[in-house]
This record gives sequence, structure tokens and C-alpha cells, in this order.
Amino acid sequence: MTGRTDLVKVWDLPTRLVHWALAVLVVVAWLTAGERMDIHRYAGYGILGLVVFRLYWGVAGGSTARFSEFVKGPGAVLAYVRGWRGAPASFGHNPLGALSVLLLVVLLISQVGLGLFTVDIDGMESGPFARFVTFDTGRTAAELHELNFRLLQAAVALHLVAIAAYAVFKRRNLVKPMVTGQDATPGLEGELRPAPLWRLALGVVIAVLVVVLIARAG
Amino acid sequence: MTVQSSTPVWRSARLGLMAAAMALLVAACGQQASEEASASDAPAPPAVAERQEGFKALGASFKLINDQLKTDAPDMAQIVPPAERMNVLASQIPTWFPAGTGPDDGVKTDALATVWTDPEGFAAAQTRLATATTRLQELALAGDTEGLREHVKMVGASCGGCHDNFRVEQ
Repeated sequence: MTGRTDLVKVWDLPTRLVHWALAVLVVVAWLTAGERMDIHRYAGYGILGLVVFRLYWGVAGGSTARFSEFVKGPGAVLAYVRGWRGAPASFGHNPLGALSVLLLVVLLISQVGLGLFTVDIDGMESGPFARFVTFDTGRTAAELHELNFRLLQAAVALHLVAIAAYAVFKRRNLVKPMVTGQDATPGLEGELRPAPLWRLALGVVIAVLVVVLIARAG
Repeated sequence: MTVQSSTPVWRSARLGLMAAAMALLVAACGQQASEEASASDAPAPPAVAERQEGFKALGASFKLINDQLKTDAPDMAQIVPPAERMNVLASQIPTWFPAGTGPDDGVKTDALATVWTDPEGFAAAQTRLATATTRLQELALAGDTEGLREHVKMVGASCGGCHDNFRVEQ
């Protein structure tokens, strides 16, 4: 690439950390499901805490992490899709990507929520809330937990296909900015308004508290 | 956050939820349809329903025990009845798999043909469970919480060991 390669700060550190930690823990939970339920349970608690934090960060975090900043109505999404080839590079999430974020968050919430009530076929391993439901209900939760995971897999696959599509058709690297926080795409217009450190601290406290309370309730 | 700025957020969130719900519904219907199609091949023998109920009762009883053992102060009055029930059910397993009720007989069952082709292996797996549930009942009657917490692992392994070799993979 020639010419100016001004680096613009796009993603704050908490947003990036949550993103990659979720990616790692979802894979860990996937690989340990039905095999190492001790690890699977901790992975689930980790995902729960990360999702709680991400929801909080979506209203209290840096500007590009906030739902109110990037979630647009159907009209804006449609307009973006229609003019996709020529659309200027978005600063932060584009209107279509915003839907993908929401979909992933919703699927992660339902995945963890179902996991809390899940019972294995032997009645041996179970989520922390399984003791409040019958064996049959716990087994239904387990089936839905598995079904919902297929949907989550599909959503992640779509996410990866979209990243590939931006790389191929728009020559845009979306992965690097999610690692470094800096985007080198020319012509980016926008500014990341970071959140103060105390908001980060508060979010961590909230997330940890929620996880500890749920884990102890079981 | 003002009401105005949050409106598109919720509209889109609702869309996402609806899409997810629809996908779940479609997937669930597909699964049900395929189950009904294969179930109509042959009427299920009563032994299949009997063993399904039996294993569900085993799992439900084991869950009740494990639910108690996970609490700080397990209530033995809640553990003894399911432990006794498990021990009775485990001893009945050999009667639940009469000839002609396997997958090779066109019966819709999650039991593998190995139940009938490897009777010694299946009997050994059943004995392992029955021995484990007898000990489970003894520990429950003795009120030995720590012993139970350790022993349920062995009971769980007995369930899992049999499921690995004699039941379709989950």
C-alpha cells in the first residue's frame, strides 16, 4: 500500500480483550463439552462474565463499543447492503455488522442460560441451576443447549465469512484492528471516545459479582 | 440513554431475537419430523418403553442424589429413597433387553446391537452398575456424606461406561 497509512484508534482494549477471550472460551467450551465437564463449567462461567461485561460496556464503554452508536434501524441496514460495494469504510461496526454483533450476543446469552439448567444423560453432571428443575426439564435444556450451539456455530461461521469478504472484495483487514486497536484503512472518519478507567473497574466488578452469585446459587 | 436513541437499538435487537427464535423453531420442527418418520417404520415393543422409563428413572434418581451432594449440608432423607430406587432399577436392567428389541430387528431404539451381540460385555457393564448402586445404597443408609461424594463418581462412570459401548452416541 502506498501513500498515507494513518493509524486511527478504533477499538478500546476492553472490547478487544472481551472479543478474543470469548473466541478462546467458546472453543474451549466446545472441545470440553461432554468430556471434561469441570473445564466446560469454568469456560461457561467465563463466557457468562464476558457477556455481562460486554452488555455493560455496550452502554458504558468506549464509543465504538456502545450499542447506541453502532446499532442502526432496518432502513440504514438496507441502504448499507444495497450500496455495499461502494460503501465507504465504516469507523467501528457497520450497520450490517451490528446485527451480527447482536446475534452473537443473543446466542451466547441463550447458550449460557440453557447451560445453567442442563443435566447430562446420567444425571451426574449438571449446571448450577439444574437442581431447581426436574431431570426431564434438565434434559430438554441439554438438547436446546446443543441446538443453540449449532446456531452459534453458524453465526460464527457467518462472522468469519464476512471478515473474508471484506478482505477479498474490499481489501480491508478487519482482524488486525481487533488485535491492535488501530485501523490503517485510508479515509476513515470518526474518533474513538474512550471510557474512563473507573467505568472499566465498575464493569469488571459487576461481571465478577454476577458470575460468583450464579455459581454460588447452584 | 434517551428513548429516542434507544428505539433503533431495540428494534434491531427484536429483529435478531425473532430471527434466532425462527431458526430454533425450524430446526426443532425438522428434528421432530425426522423422528416421526422413522418411528412409524415399526410399532415399538413394550420393552423399549419400559427400559426408556427405567433409565430415565435411574437418571432422575441419580440427579436427586447429586443435587443434594452439591449442597453444603446434604439431606440424607432426600438421598436414601432415590439410592434405593437406583439399586432396584439397576438389578432389573437384564430384563429390559429381550431378544427382538434391538436396532437390527427394525426397532427404533438408542440401544446398540452390541447389547445382543456382546451379552457377556453387557452383563459385565450391568453388574458393574448394580455393584456400584448397592454400595451407593449402603453409604446412603449409613449417612456417609463424604463417602457418597466420592462414590457417585464411580456410579457415574458405570453409567458412562455402558453408554459408550451399548448406546448410540449422544
